[in-house]
Amino acid sequence: MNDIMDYKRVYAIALKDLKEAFSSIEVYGPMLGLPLFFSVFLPFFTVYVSQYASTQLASRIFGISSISTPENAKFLFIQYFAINILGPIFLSMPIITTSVLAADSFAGEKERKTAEALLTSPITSTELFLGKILASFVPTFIVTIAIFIIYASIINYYTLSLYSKILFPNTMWYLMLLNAPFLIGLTIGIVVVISSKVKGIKEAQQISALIALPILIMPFSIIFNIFKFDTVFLILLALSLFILDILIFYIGVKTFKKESLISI
Amino acid sequence: MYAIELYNVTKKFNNFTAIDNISFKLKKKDMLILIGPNGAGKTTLERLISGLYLPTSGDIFVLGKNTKIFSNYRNSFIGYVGENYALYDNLTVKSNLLFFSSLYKLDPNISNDRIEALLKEFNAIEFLNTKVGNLSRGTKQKIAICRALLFEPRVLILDEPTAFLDPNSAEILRRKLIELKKNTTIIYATQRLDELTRLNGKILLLNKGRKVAFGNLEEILHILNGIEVEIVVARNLSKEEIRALSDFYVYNNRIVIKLKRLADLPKIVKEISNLNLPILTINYINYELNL
Repeated sequence: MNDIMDYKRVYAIALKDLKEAFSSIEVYGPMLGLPLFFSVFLPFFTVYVSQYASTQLASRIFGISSISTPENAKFLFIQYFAINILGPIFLSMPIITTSVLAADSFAGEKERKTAEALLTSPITSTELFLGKILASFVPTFIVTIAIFIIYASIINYYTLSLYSKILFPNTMWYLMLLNAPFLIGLTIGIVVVISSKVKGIKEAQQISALIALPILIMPFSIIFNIFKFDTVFLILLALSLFILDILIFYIGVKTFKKESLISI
Repeated sequence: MYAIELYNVTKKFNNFTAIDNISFKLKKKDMLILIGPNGAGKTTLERLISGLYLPTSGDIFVLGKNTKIFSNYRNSFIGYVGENYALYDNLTVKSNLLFFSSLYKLDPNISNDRIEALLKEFNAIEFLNTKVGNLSRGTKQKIAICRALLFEPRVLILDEPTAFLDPNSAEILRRKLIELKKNTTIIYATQRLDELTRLNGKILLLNKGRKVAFGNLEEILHILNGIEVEIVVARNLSKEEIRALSDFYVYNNRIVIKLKRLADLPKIVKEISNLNLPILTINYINYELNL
């Protein structure tokens, strides 16, 4: 017998988890700090390294023989790194850091012995899972957008002042951002499902770290030219991720057992 | 219609049988007191009835609904206070209670009124804005009880709710339970024999996961071996009186007696009365099971 989903209860679960997480700097500090640090550090690093790009080096990397000036070479270098390499890294960074939150979702309730009251309340497994996923999804998505804006603003500032051009926004990054919620949803979904099945937070975090590794395939697959990240590919990727999101959520709800959250 | 029905319920954890083929029925507005030594299966049985555990075999019905469907069913009639307080340490008492009232979809104004009324009743209103992590175990227990009472459950399940309460708060809870009995089915696990006399409910005596007895206080007390009884008299005992009762442990106005059989109690009560000591209460404080 399934009841109709009640979004107010989903929201209540998510809000409670967020309040708990943001009451402790040990949790939200690394979650916000690391991506913010890299969103400032990486553009400076990119611009700095680009100053050493010569026309010969640029020709070799990009396979273009007609790079006329060192300024063009430097600009191409920034463009390549800022858009193609660092983009996917930016997408994966908040996911890695906020996986801590997702790992804590169910395993934390189990370890702190708070699940009994929650599981005897009028909440269905579907609402509980959705609430737990939402609690990790919202800060991750906000951090992703925030670090993108910071990163793009710094890069734009430099390219505008040095080469009178701006790099962001562009189609590739729009498509990257289109993929962001689905990729975040998939990662968090998998980690939340793991969290509902393991004995404690540490175990959930260790397994989650393994989950985060395949996400890094994306930037490396660009570097090594395994996949060509064009418009069609990114749209298909978004669709595939969306289907996987639903699949993982369905598996999580269907295989969820209240008993697994209660210590004997 | 019965409020709670158990049919041949067994619960196993791997090879360990925590509950072994238990059946009983409880009418609406009845109170069931679960009693038994550590590891008897009281907590497991309560978790089974609340739907937190599923039986390995057998069926449990709460208000006509099989607990097997609870996992994805909106169970809004059970109030549960487990052995863990199940409160969120990083949130304040108010945030904890408001969170649960939102799960039960109580009107925010009604929630606030009820929260304040319950906290006042249990002398915990001063902790309204205190983080739960900073509270004592006794206060956490009070808050957990308030949480369960917040939505006026039709079935209330309590696992040793007075374990960390001071005597005054324990008495407040017992009085509240007697009041709730008018409309609520209550299951109450305890290890304290004195609570059996104070609560006056049906008693299920458990041992090693098995049902030893199911009945009223008299029936249960006759099954127990080695009962410890505390008799409270109206005044402190004199040295002569203490000497006259040298077979027993005496302190201030309390006489603690170890009985092999309950049938020996009237003789001792008469002996104390003969010393002109007015008896205030007789509490069953401990017991042994040699089954």
